Amino acid sequence: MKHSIKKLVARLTIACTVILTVLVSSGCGSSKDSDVFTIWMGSNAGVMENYKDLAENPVVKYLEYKFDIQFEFITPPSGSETDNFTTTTISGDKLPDVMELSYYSGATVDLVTDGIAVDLTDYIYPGEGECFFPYTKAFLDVNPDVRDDVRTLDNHYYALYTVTDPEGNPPWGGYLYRRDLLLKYAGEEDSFTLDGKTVNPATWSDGSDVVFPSGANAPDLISDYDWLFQILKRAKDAGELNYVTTLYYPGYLETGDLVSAFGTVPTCYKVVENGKTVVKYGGDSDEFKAYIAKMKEWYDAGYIDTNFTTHTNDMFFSIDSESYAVGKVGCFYGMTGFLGDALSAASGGIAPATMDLRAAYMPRLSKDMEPMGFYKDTKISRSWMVTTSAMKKNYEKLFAVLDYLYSPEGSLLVNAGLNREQYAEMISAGVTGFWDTTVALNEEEQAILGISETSAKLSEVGVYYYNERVGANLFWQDIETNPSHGNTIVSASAQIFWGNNGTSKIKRIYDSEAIHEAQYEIWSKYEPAANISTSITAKLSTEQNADYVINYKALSNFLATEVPKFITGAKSLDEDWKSFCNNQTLKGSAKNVSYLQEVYNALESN
Amino acid sequence: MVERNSPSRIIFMIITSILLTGVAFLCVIPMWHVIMSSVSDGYSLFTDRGLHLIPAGKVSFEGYKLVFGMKEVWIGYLWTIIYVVSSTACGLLLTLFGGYYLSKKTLWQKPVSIFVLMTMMFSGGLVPTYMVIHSLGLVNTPFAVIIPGCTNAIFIMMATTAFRQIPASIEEAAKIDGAGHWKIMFQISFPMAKGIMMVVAMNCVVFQWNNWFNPSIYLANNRAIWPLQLVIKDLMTVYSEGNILASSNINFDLFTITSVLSVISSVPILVACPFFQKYFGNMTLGGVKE
Repeated sequence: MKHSIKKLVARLTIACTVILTVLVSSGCGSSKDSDVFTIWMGSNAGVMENYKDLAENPVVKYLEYKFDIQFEFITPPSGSETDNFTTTTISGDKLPDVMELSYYSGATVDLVTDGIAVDLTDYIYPGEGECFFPYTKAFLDVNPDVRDDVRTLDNHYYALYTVTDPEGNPPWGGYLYRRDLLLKYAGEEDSFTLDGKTVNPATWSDGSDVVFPSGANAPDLISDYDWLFQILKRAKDAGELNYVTTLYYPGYLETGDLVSAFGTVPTCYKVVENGKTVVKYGGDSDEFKAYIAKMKEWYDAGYIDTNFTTHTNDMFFSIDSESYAVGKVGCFYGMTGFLGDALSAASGGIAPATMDLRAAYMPRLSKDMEPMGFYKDTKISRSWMVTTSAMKKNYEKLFAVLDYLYSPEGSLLVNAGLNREQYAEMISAGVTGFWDTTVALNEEEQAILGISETSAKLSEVGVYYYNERVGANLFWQDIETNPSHGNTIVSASAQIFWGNNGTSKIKRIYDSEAIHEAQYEIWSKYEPAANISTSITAKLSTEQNADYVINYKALSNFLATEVPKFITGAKSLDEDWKSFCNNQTLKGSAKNVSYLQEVYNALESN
Repeated sequence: MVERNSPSRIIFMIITSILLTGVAFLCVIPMWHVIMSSVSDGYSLFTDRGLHLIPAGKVSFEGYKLVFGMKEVWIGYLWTIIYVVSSTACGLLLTLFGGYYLSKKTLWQKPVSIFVLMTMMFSGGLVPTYMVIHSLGLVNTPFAVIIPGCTNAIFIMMATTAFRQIPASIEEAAKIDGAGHWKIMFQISFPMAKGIMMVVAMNCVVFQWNNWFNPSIYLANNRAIWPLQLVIKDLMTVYSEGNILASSNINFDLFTITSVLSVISSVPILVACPFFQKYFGNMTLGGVKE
């Protein structure tokens, strides 16, 4: 017994000594150089899938090489970003140098007041002093809409933003319908007149000749959807579908998808009237009533899934995957990866082999209307602050890098990861056409930026190069010529950094299949002009923001509970609508409108 | 005299057996579902969200190939083992020494006991605790996980009780034979408290193996030393349904990853437990019988 205890103690002692040595050495941090900057950002699927250590990203390596700087990345665990932001900012003396603000819900000015964030105003618009952000300033000057989103009401600049060219950012989701079932079940009885000629669906062969009553090659007007649904109902009656279509569980989408076909958005939104921005609230409008009436009509006709209110755990882009993934839904909101026969090909025989999903337009009531509110990645996405920690180092180098990413060359850099063949393809596709934005700059700005006819061309070194320190061609080594992989690299790079992501031509290279081209055209036909971005709500004062959030949540919960009752008939649109509207006023809809209107008034008067 | 089971006893045994079998079934079923999901075909798993008692679709180990190809999973395993061993060793030392000291009648016994008991009733909360750990310079170091969670007042009180139950006559006899404090502690008291050692050790092991919350707060900015549970939590968000579907070329095998991650985090503990069964055989709370 004595001997075994002694042995146990001896083994434990050895194990502890080894472990402590490992721990102490891992706990030791390296001394910080004033050219080493830490960047705190939320982890992102596209980024983390390819680069666990973000410092390995070729974009980062090139920037380190070009500016003789070093970056270290801090990415907290997914789901803990908000907590980590709080605990990191209260630590005071060990702030990262750049931090993503997407996980901060307060007012950025509070961070400046607390000595955490740097007020960048005098560095971007210095007046008589040195401008540390010439590219950024020039970009903001030629894009006043972006500048209005970025600045505060008193013309301060507290953060830098990731700005994405909408044309280069194809939507990842939209409405899809089963075109194979349309071809199968549409008959002569569904004929209609178009431009004086009779269109007989019974004569359609392979789908290339499909046209809808509006004249479009995909469902466009609400009347097109009516026509489509009555045909798909036959497929449901024949047992090929569980239901024709479905709705998100509250009966609507807050961003206005489908709702804006009727001319409104079920929350606060903006329109331009007589040159001025006017904020409105759509949840109690006649247009929203018309939307609900239409949904009720579809529900009563047997088009809509009777269990739509039960899918509370499903995302709006993946409602009831048990049905749509096996081809049992006729029309639904889906993703790019579902197009054509992608689902049936991946299903290994589970989904029908004939399943052919095609893109449909965001619907509208008539041709003189455009859907003005729906889910789409916004032009302004992530925001970043420079912390006071950075000002104790060689901040001029950091500012040079940040500013460079707003330059024409730097913004293309965020799409690095191209191999030699892809780079050549990009050049031959006329990417240098992007340089046209320099025409918008005046001579003085061009002189500041040092832009001329020859210097504006993208150099080879800018996209890939042989890095002696690493000993390899960083950009194109290990990069596969796979469009989807390429897209991942592109999106990974674009999301790791801020700046102006002018990616239109580059992204189009990868969408080379006809089906994706069609989807791209159909799903990007409109812009969600009515949606109010978070950069506007961020301009509310602390008190206004607190009240705005409370009212917003109360209204969301109320609508989510009541709207399905109108759709399913549990409540009457004629009898219960008035109290439905009054309740929304009581919950602060008018106050939220007034808060946002104040912001727009201030922006337009400055 | 041979006692025969009465009919009522037989009925009682049958009902108890059925109930316990049902409870055991309910405990095993979720685990079995996860194991079956982990070896299912990804697309079948995507389309069939119900209970899986057999693999959905064809059997596929693609999820395991993907997970075991991730370097951070292996690093997470390594650091989890380091945290488990270190925290258990630290916890055992602190618990045994603390319990032994508090079991002796000394000048500071009562004040220290009250101080230890107070920690059981009051806590500063998350932010004050973080500020204390931060001020000690432990944040983003392994010590932030090892030291704070290695023991607690309950274990120390349990050890105190265990040591108090050792007959005083044994210690007196040892003193008469010339044994000093250390000899009594290591050669008499500790061996007699083997039961409580195993209780504390097993609790430390299970707690540290499953611990993700403290690392998410204190190690958030140092991915290199994340334990397995935190790595898994992060990966589960990275490979969420929305992120998988967002690709233009969807890899449905990724839908098995969350199940695979659940299996690989649980299996080591499940495999190791039977080897410790023998230590629980004669264990009582006090660890000592007169």
